[in-house]
Amino acid sequence: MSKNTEMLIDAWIEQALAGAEASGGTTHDPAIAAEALAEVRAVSADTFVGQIELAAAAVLVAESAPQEPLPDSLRDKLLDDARTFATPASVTAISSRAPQPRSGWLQGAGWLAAATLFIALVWQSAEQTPPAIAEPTIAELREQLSTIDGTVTLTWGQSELSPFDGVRGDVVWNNERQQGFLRLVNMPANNPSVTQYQLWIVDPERDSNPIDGGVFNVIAASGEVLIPIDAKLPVIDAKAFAITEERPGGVVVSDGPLLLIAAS
Amino acid sequence: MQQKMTLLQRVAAGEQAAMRECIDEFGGLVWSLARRLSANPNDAEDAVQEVFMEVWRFAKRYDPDQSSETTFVAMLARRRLIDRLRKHNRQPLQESFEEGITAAPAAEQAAEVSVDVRRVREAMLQMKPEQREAVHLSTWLGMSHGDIAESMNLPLGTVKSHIRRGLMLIRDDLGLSGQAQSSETRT
Repeated sequence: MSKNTEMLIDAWIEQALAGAEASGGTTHDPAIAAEALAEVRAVSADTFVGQIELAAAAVLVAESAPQEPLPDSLRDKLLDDARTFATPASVTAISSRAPQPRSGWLQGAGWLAAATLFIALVWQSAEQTPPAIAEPTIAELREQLSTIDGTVTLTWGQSELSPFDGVRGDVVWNNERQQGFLRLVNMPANNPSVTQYQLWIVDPERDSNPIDGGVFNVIAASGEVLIPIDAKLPVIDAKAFAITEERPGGVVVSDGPLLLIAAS
Repeated sequence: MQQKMTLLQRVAAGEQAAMRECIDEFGGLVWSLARRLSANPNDAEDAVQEVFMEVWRFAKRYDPDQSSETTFVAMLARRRLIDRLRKHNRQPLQESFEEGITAAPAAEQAAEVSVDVRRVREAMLQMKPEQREAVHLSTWLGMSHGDIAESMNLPLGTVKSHIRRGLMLIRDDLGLSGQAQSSETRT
């Protein structure tokens, strides 16, 4: 194993374990990356990083014995949190079936009482199978997220790079829900066998390196596209979003350039 | 024939009973980790609540082909606990932060211990103390290689080698890489 290959593997391991504390550099030299992946027997850097994280977690499990029982008062808090977390999904289910106009349905006070009753009935009848509900579209999910407290909307700034200078749209993101959507208009199409777009989430509270928000494709003549954000790590406080163009499958660290930026 | 859904898959599907079962199944583990990696019991309680919010959010990411549910939950817990340590610049409770494994407690030897736990313990016990300590500091505290080298007064290259070999061995022993149990030497 060459020295450069060893350095790259160590950088991946440090990134998996130390995150913000990682100090090793990474390289996009394809030959070194390929040698490193062969050495660690992984299909991609992301896969290897994930395996190391799981191995580290397994060490914690093994060393955490004997485990202390969860205090009853804390268990009660966790159950309350779980019910609260489940609440927005239940409201979404109701609103997608409601005959009333969506804006009136969501903004009226009556939905809260109905939602509370719905949750109580489902929670207490744990054996009962929830009724089948039509899945909301991405556009509907984005719109609903936009109405929730704590959701921010950031507009894409004009790119200085052609042909991205004509792209418009925005990013909707809710930190509490760890959920968000990109809206892109006039985004040039990519050839998925050659490149993919990759979203990055800038979160200074978490890390000096941006968080991988997932890769996506834009099909020719798409007009407006809506993309769900798939953050690979928990986001503490997103301050900006950026898009780059990378090799298929994405990268762990991007060399840029930044095609589009949406910042607060 | 349809495979039975795992607990986390049921949570991801929105089954609220599964969330209760999840708290009962993993609450002790998450609480124990939080107690060791938090500055005080109040912090530990807040941390456990945050960890379970991560579990609800990321249950959809669980892949039974990659790891056990326990390991997956522990991974989410570890991320959140280390984030909290860094954000609040706090030290874990020192009195509970003894050397990880010296030997399995006698009571545990008779108790049912998962195969994964047994394999990790065997791997750690066969490491030399210096390697075990380096792996322990990197996994529990997320310390950088440089900080571990300084803390242990070892060359950086030695620390990196210890951690690389140790964790890849554990990875292989647990089948996380899709490889059979490794027969590599420990150091």
